[in-house]
Amino acid sequence: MASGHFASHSMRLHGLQEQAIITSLYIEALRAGQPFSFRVVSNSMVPTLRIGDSVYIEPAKAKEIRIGDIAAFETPDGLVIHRIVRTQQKGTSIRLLQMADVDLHPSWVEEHAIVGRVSSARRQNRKIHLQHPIAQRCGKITARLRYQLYLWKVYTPLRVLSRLCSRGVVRIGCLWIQCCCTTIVSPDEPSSI
Amino acid sequence: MLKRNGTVLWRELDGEAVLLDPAEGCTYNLNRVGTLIWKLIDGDHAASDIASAICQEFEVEHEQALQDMEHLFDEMRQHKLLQSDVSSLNTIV
Repeated sequence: MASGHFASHSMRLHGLQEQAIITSLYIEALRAGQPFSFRVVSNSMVPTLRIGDSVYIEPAKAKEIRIGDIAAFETPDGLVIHRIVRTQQKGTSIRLLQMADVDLHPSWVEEHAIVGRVSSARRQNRKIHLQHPIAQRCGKITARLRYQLYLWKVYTPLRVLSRLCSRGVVRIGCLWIQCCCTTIVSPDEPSSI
Repeated sequence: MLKRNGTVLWRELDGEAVLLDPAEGCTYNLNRVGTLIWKLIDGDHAASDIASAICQEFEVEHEQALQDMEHLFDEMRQHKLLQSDVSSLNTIV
């Protein structure tokens, strides 16, 4: 064995490989009450969140999630962060209706799958505070309007109009959040602060 | 005794460990040798015991194993993967 074998080869920063196992570790961390930052890898929440943004996820139970929050939940495909548009009490448990910001295809998330909530996002030197009261209000209005648009979408003639309105609602909500709840941070500042 | 940082989560996949430090948001990969070391730094094994285990498992001299371990522990300390009260390898050999 060459000298320095461990140091040079046994430890390295991970890439995208073994994503499943890493995701399961992140979920385990959240369930243990540990918040963390996570890199966005999908454009399903554009324009609020884009690929490459860093999101700070705090542990949260389903009962703590409000309409409009961007919840983190476990799926067979890994960890997903989407907006909650509706909640439903089902006996003693609660389930949440989630919807991406780019389409009008909601689905229910069971209580046990919820692991956290996105509290802030970071894009380059800008930090968006998603738990700011204005951001919460915008998120809630966006979620409620988009759920109504989803209901209208059922009527075929309104489908295109619903989709266009939905995009407009998301963009306006995002614009408000970016104007009122964004701060400039230094590149060295941890995303959790 | 050397001990893993308790906040670091890890899982073994095909004999190789994947580590996650949630506080730093960093993930790491250990090869088979590194994984063996990682599993043995549980606070119950001295460095010399770990080196002996490596010699049994892999073809390497005891001294060489100790030297290489020290490099790995240095890296682990830099990345806060060991408990902070752990002193240098020399004090526990």
